[in-house]
Amino acid sequence: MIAFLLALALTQEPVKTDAQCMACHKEAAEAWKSSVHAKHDTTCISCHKTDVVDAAGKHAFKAPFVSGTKNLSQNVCGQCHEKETAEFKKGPHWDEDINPKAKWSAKKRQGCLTCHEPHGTLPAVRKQIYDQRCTHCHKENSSQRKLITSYMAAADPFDAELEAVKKLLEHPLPGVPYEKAEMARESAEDLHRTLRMLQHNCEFKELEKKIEPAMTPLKAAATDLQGRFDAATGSRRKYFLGFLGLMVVNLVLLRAWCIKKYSGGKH
Amino acid sequence: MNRLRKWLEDRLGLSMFEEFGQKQLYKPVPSHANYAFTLGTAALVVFMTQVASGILLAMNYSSGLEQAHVSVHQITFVLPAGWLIRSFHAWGSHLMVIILLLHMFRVFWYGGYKKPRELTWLFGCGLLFLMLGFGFTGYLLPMDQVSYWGTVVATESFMGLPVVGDKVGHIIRGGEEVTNATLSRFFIVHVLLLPAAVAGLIAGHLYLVRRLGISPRASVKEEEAQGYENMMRTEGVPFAHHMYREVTTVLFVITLQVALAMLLPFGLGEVATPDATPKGVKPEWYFLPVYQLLKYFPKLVGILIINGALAMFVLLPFLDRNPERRPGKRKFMMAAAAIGLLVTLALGVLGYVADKKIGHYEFDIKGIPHKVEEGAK
Repeated sequence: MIAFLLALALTQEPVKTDAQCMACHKEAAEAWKSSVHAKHDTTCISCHKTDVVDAAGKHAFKAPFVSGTKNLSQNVCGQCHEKETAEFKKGPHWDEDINPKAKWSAKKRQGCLTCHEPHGTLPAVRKQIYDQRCTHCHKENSSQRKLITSYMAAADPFDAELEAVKKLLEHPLPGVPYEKAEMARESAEDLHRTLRMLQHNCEFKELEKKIEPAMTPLKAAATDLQGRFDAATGSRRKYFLGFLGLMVVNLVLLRAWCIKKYSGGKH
Repeated sequence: MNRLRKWLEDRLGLSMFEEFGQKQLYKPVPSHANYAFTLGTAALVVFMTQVASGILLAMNYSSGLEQAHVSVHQITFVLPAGWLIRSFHAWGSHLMVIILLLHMFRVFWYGGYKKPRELTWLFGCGLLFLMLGFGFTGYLLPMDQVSYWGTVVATESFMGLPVVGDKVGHIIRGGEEVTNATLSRFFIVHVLLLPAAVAGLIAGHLYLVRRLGISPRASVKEEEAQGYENMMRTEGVPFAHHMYREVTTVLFVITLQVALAMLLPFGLGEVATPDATPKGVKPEWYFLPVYQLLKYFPKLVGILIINGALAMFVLLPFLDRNPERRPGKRKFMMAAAAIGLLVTLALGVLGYVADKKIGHYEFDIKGIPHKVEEGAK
């Protein structure tokens, strides 16, 4: 018995490195490599902690190991995503009995990993979550669905407009002031971040109200900047053609004058 | 008008300058002088426009570490026509190096560096190096990420010099790192020391060109036997006859410079941050061959090779003892130059592609391509 326990102790080593995890969990590792988490050096052990694994790769599921959707959602994500977790806790989907809004059965309660795939390549996309998650429980024509779709109808064009302004600002045209657009982008990005955070609590009606006043200046800034770019490019072309014409005339006249005066009309 | 002229003449003796001008105008140049012989004038004109545009920029530039980027941003995006003057100046620096290299190639091709014009060549080499110094110091001034890190990389090369490397690096940077002290000294060197030194060398170079004249096609021995002035009496043409070519080239170069500035204006990158190194930092294109060569050899060996090659280039008039000037009769030198040129070009291209992804290939820092697997992340 003692020998068996000794042998068992020898064959079981706590997993200390991410490479050991990735050796078996190949699919998750592959997805993780290009994820936002990988970019920020959040590795397997950052979330799952360590576990004792035997030679055959069998987990002992011993503390501090963390596994399972629920455990990870409740105990891990909030370590970094503090604000988002706090917002989520305010909303109707948080899995705690003290939450008066959580009226349905425990089985249906949600966590961070319901919508987010931490090993995946991208953070959650609004439309994707709606199609794959929200619609899963909220029936068609339900008040919740109406609220979400109405919010998406306002938020998606806002995001698109913000992307358009960001693209314009990637290569600002020298000679064209872009401060106005830059300011509009900054405040729109602030709002975008706020929305991303606040939408965890699913108060879509409140969120929708914030978009409308921000959309108008953003749109105006984009149109203004694009107009300035177009006008500057057009007038530059015109000025340059004028300059070119002047130089050609200069060249012809000066050259002819030089040849006539100094080269005796020959060259 | 005549009275004013006489009034000035009595006081200033203007006719002396007029006579000097006429004498220069009718000084003979060899009849084979073609458009390639106008590149020196083009370089002089570009230098003058660089001084003018540089003065305008300096009036709005601040060389403090924090103000530099702000002031260049102001010039580029806020001041009326600031962007145009800055782009004109920046393109001028590239054109200057191209014109000087072509000019020196022309001198080499026609054997113009040979006796008795060795000093003219040396002055020319000095001018080329000073112009590269302009590029080196001017590159840092906008203080954006690319210019800052380009300067860090370029100044690091000096630190590889044997024995004195660290000291030299320290002197250039004004400390351990590229900081406010580096920016201040680069700015002062760029706007004070280099222009003064270039003006001096140009004066010397022009004096020698006018004194010794443009080299004839004949060999050194023939020139010595017949005398330059005698040769020019029979085969020379007055400089004035050649002047329309100078005018044509100068107008073409200015038009090209304005076209580049207007249609491809220089932007401004993110403000320099010493904490974040951007990917693929490289010095200006004309330093790429040297930068790339240092990657293939230990620093000391690389520096010895570069200095050896530069010494050969500068001392060319003393190393090449062949009296012939016609390219067809200087086959060895032509072959050696072709090899040197190809190696430099190849190093330049390798330097350009290094640490870059082009199409399906990713080039490592030595410029060796590696095929990128489809779908690989």
